[in-house]
Amino acid sequence: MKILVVEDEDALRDMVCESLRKEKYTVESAPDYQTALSKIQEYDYDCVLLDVMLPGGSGLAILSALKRLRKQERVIILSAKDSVDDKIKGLDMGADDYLAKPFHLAELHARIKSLLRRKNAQGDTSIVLENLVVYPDKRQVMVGEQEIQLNRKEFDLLYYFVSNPNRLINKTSLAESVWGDHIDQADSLDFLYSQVKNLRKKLKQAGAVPEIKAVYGFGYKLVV
Amino acid sequence: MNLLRYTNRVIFLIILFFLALWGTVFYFLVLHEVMDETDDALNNTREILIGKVLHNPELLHTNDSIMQRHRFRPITAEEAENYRETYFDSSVYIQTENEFEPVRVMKSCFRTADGAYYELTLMNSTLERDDLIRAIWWALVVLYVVLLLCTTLGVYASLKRVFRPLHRLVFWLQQMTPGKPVPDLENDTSINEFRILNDAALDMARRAESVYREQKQFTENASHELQTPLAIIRGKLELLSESEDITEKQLEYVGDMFTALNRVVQLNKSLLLLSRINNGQFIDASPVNLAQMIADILEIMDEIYEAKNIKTHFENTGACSVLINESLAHVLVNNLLKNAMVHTPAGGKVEVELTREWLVVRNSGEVPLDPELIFRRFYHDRSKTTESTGLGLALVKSIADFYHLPLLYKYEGMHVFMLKIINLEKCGVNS
Repeated sequence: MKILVVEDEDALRDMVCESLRKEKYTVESAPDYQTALSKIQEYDYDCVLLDVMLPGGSGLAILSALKRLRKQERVIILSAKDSVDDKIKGLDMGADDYLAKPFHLAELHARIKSLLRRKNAQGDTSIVLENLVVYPDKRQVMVGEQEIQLNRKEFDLLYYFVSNPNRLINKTSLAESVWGDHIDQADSLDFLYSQVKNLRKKLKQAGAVPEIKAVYGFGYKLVV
Repeated sequence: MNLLRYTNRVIFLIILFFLALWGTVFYFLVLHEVMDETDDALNNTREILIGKVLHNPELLHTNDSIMQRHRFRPITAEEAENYRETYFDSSVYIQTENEFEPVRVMKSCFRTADGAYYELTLMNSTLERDDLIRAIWWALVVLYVVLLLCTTLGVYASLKRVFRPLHRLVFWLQQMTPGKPVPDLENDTSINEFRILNDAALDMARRAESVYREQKQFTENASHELQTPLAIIRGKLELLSESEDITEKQLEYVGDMFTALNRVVQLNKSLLLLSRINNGQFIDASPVNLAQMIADILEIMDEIYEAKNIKTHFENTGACSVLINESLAHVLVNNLLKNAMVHTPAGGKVEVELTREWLVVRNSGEVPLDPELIFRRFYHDRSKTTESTGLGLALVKSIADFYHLPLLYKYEGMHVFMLKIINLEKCGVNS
């Protein structure tokens, strides 16, 4: 899997690259419009992470260049603007997803995985971890042959976990990915605790091999 | 009272007083002069009459003429010794006219050639004199009224002209709204002070406008600029937490940093949103089903605040979509409900009511809040450990202001937040 990171902030670019490399992706990066443009013209990528405001030109122009070249790259826009207009504009122009800065790396990984899965799966978009199978489109979860019933939020939580297996996930990142804007009360994440507890119980009862482990003071980890 | 009417009233009162004073003084001076004239006439007549009598004592027994009467009365030498001339007003009965006529009387004495003393009483009709005084009186009154009227109207007209540039300036000042461009000021005047005032007002308005714009832009830019470093810190913390040799204690520290950082991120987001709203960057409006939105958000709130065991209740009698920016509507409802949930003590109640006219959110709470302060940015109840950014209600207020919707707070045993949504355009009734 080849990913191109187009971002002008050195520290941010390096960080994203490092995190992606840890996931065994092949990563290239471009710090400005020209470099990015020549890279997409020369090579093929599976996914492009695109900053909108770049020295030398707009990230959206690169997006339209990709479409003009009839390239198959999946594009995730990374923007500091976080405005609805920007988001709609980007998605209208053919971007596959939109992530506002400052994002959680775990969230970024989940989005990339979801995109690549859809790109590469021929109809089958399921995620398989040992005996745990998650069907994101049908919102269905199987453990072995047995289907387990999860409520909406429990499913969202599990989906985030299976998108980030073996990764330590901070509780704020988890809460934000599931509840979005509704939680900005930084301290009260008690609700997360009870939801995860229920999820863990259901997985355990069904005999799932992957296990959600709590890490004191930090968050959780899906251990496979 | 406006400046014109006030000035006019002051001038009117001054003229009223001084003109009246002048009229009174004038009247009495003229009166005095006329009296003197009458007495002088009597005196002259006396001289002539006594001169005639001294030549012709026969006349001592006459006493009449048409306009003037006289009478001679012999008096003793002693009486004559202490005699003093007197003038006084009196009246005399006139038989032919069958009425009393006002007269001026003069009494004086003289000695004839044969040494006899006489008292002369002279009476002169004052009909004409009184007529004259009356005429003067009326002339004065009419003059007074006319003069008062003329001056007042004249002063009013000229003041109105003089103050016109001032009125135009005041009107112009009233038109100004922060955030809108400063309108042109067309206010030519030859009056120096007003010209200076015009220039000063225009200068000040432009400066205020530019400061306002810069200030607004500043918050937005600052928030933007913070996004990238925040993303870096967040990402590095994530990478740090994933490193293999991190200890449990260190991980706990990283977790705390995450939590604190999250708060900064939320704060920054809210600030950015706030300045965007104030900069009017949310213009697109679409039909939004408020009832559905409230129900959805309330469901999520129930989930998030499950541990607090808050009873929520939503009553909807409004049931119609309104024309509003969807993101703003979401921020508005979300923050109103979140505020209620956060500040309700465990086991309390949150009631939401949607009518055609109002969106009302009530939540349990013991102590009334200060309605002046709660919608301010970063207002916290200092007595509680706070979980909020302090911007939630400020956001609500900004959105309400943006749509000119009155937002009220009152305390009726519960905290009550009322948002009047009647001004939002309704579009169709949903079942």
